[in-house]
Amino acid sequence: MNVVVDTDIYINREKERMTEDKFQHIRDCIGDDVFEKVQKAKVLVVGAGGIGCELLKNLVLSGFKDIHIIDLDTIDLSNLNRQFLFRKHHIGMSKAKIAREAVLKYNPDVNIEAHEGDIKNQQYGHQYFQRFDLVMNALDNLSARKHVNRMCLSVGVPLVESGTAGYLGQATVILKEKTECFECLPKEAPKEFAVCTIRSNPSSPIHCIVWAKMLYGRLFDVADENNAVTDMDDNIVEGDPEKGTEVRDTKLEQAKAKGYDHWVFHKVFHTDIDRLARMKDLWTGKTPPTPLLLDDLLNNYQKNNGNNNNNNNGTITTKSIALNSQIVNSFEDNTRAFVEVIKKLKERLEKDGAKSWDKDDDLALDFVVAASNIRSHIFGIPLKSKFDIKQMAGNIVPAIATTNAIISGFIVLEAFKILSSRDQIQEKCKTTFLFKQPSNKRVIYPVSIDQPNKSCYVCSQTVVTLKIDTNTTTIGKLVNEVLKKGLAFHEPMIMKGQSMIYEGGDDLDKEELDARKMVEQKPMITFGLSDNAIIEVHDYLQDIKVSILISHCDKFEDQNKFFEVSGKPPQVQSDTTTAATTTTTDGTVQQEDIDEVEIIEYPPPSDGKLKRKEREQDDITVEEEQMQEEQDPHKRTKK
Amino acid sequence: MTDTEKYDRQLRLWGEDGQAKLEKSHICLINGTATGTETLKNLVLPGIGAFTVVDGNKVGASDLGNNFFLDTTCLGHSRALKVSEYLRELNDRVKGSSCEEDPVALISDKITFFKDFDLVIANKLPEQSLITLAAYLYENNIPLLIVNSYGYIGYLRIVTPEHQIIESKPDTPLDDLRIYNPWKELEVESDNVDLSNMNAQQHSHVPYILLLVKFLKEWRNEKNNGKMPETRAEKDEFKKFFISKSHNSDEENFNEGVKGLFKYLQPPRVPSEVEAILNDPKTSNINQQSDDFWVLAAALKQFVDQHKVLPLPGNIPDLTSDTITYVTLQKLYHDKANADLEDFNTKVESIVSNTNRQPIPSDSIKKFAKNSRFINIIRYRSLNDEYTIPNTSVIQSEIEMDNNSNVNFYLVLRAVEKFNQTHNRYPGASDEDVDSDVPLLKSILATILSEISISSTIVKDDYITEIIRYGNSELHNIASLMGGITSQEVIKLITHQYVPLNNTFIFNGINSTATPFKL
Repeated sequence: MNVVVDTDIYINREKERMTEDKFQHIRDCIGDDVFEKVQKAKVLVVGAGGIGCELLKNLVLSGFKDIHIIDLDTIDLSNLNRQFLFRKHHIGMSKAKIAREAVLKYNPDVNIEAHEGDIKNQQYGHQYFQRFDLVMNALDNLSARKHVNRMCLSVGVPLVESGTAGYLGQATVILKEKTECFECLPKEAPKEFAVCTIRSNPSSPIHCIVWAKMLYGRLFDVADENNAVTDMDDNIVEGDPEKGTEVRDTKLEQAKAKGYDHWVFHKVFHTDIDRLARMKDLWTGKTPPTPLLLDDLLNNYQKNNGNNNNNNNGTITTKSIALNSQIVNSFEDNTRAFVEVIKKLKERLEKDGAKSWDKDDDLALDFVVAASNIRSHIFGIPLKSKFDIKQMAGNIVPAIATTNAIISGFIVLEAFKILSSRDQIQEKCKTTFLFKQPSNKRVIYPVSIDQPNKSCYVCSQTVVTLKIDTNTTTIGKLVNEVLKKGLAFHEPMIMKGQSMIYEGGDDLDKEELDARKMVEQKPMITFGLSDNAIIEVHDYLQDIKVSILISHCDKFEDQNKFFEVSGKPPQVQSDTTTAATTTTTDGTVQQEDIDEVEIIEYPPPSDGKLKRKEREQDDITVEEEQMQEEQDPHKRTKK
Repeated sequence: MTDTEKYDRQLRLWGEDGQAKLEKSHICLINGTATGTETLKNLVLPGIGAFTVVDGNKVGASDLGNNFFLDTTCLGHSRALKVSEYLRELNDRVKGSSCEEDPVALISDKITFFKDFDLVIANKLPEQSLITLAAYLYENNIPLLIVNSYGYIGYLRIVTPEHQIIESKPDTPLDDLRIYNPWKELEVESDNVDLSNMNAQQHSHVPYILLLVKFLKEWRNEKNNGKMPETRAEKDEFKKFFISKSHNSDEENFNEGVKGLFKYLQPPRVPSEVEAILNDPKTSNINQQSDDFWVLAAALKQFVDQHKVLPLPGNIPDLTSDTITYVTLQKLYHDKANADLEDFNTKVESIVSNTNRQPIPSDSIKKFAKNSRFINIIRYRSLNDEYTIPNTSVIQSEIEMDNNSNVNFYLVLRAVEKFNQTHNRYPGASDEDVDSDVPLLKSILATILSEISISSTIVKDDYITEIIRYGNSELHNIASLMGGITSQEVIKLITHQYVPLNNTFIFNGINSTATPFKL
């Protein structure tokens, strides 16, 4: 096979062949007409992470020549196991920009425009989206995906939507009025915990981790009225001061005098625990938790260390402690780490100001590790390693190169179909699911795409009913908790009839802003937003208008909720982009799905409709389930 | 020591144990085509130990159009060298080398070259060489993955005599809670639950496990002469009985019990995959050479023979409970799991000493015991068997069920490889041959079909013209997708986690379908 040729002649001949058309093979496969469309297409890739890197490579080598890529993120060490365009020396630099450079290095003849920015920013408005023939999402968070969904719907540009999580992945196509949109089906809600489980009755490590993140928020983040994890000065452990029956923890004052570390430790692991222990109903027949005293613990450690080392010089020193990532550190190590970390965080707070909790902020992570483990110890719950706690606290979703490669391949296949038959997208395109292992013998499962859901409040005109206490809920809470976090509006404007009640956004002058602040503080009823009132909520950026029927309600079955939306059940999601556990939306403590969370809709068991409800049915017996599985897979997919 | 920061996102998937196995592996890629390079890329990134690219070709123009890592400066250089150079850049923890020899010559003259690899990925290898290599690797117990892409079509075949899986990690594993068959301590614990002396708070916080064990015993003795509920009617009756013990429908613990009730009323049994392993002749034939897996399986057989159940894994699900009861219950399961493990351990040790073989690390024993419900084994057919004793019935029934089945592409690709073997070029590779290649390929296909004993008219001509249209060219996008699928299977094989495909996989990019066949 290998004919010996003069190298120079060989290279020249090959170079010539290349300039002829290095993409001849693509023309052969997809046809000249589709290839022309590919070459002319202007496309937008939203996200330059795991999927984004693979996708950019595939697009360039499929003949796409005009590509915009946007990402607000910078490169992190933990990206390098899959985001192959990045190297160690790129850490901290813009993903979009480095991805562009890396691709151009190998393929200088394409035009890539990179933006380091947030796709939700106003500068990427209708005019920006309108110029693309195709938009491809390579995103990892729900709020941005919903936003791009709405932008693409508003300008009628086809969107390829995708996601991966570990070995699982999916890709699908969305087009206004032709297919269902990203929000036609409710997304699986993040796991929620009742406030009382977190504050009073934890039974598993996650409860203590959520608590520790709330405590971090209370101590080191900006004040949040919804965060009621503890009140640092409250030393009442029993009784009612109004009746004069209160019992106080007098040691709290002394602890406070010893420094911030002692104060916090005493407050949350002594005073608060003491109060819980005194609630007799919680502990009938059981041993109540024992409040901890920091000085006793430290003295004990000192004594033990001294005895072990025969080197007791009589002073109490805390040896520096680094929490090991993989192993479960002892209660003693966690206690020492807590004291140390809290001092450092306090210093940082005073120097740099408040900082939201972030899983990649090692100090903040150590705080949650130590605090949650100490609390677990108190309640007899097993302690966890830093590695495991990082996953739970940071909602880390596993991510690997292989899955992203497969899904990116599907995205480009759908892109070809969109460009070649723009009029038949719903018929030609597919939703594809990737399984982690053969299921019904299959690992890849294509299903046809549904038409728009008639009751979707995003892509169809549907009236949504909002149950809420109109007497106590302020406009501010309505906007932030219900409209922004709950219904994913970016900058909502509220209209009632012809009058405008609230205008979002930041292009207001000072006077208008002051007026808005006043409005925010007043209850809904002040503006006639009472039972049976209908309001219209507009978002100009997302080009969406939703009619909401208000239904007054001051008692909710679930005590943790303060509102309910029906008509179409939209998912209650938070809109923040930093990792945090907050008391959100409906008042329950929620693990937010942010950062790296990629939502997977589990593929249907048989006929293309999601049947999550069915899976939850309680009375399918094991035998019946297995019978269903053993049915011939081909009979199910053949239509 | 692995780089836990860099590998954080994957360690959460396959753990340190899986990572260690990856880092110990040396993988060989035959031919640095787009498909081959993309496959290896996805293995270098998560950090295999080492790779070797074997390729006798020089980089040409067609490579630049579909291989991301090759640019004009590579033209005329060894493809093995250039591909391995670029792949090494992706991960400084991975060792990469290249072998510029023609793999065909290597296989015929020096096949022992391949004996030290942990896994071989073969790409665009002529049929005869492929069969020789496959037979050699099968004999030496080295997994082989054959991957090719032609235009919109992808092909993957996994060949290895026996693949052992300890952690099959099913999607929805049933918790083994022994509600149906409680051990003594669990039964005592549930007997001690005294609902009549509880306030509302306590009543609604008794774990459903204890409730089910308690009321199942009560119901059997009071209503069913000590018998378990067997018929649907009896099960429904027990359900009513159980619900009648709750104060109201808001008691979460009772609701959780009702939700899982029917599952837990199934008599415990050993899963069929595990049963097959226990009954495998290899478990009754342990000697010094036996794998750890089979020694452990033999011990497991003894355990099951004695106890009629698998060792208890010992973890309990999140459930409504007060903290202290939860922790007590957790400890109860933990202790029982430890006792089972100890018993299992004794059995392993006695087999080890009887057969005079190396002891098995305690971590492996523990992992096996904990995962005993999930162990699995796949025996792949050899490539030689596929070619000489064709699985006619599978192919026949596929086509009968759907005459557009992807099995058509399998058959046409077999013909394509035979064409290449015969004519030393791929059909449709140059424009002038496109028309004349159609009848040539068609007649080769007819021969293959008759060998498989399938009607020669069964494959439509469209499949032949389609594959000739591709002319052996790779679309990068399909190459990348197949690279993703192949590397995913490689990781499953190396880590012995999850269940890999068995054994042939055809990807069809025209309609985005993919079908596995057991051929």
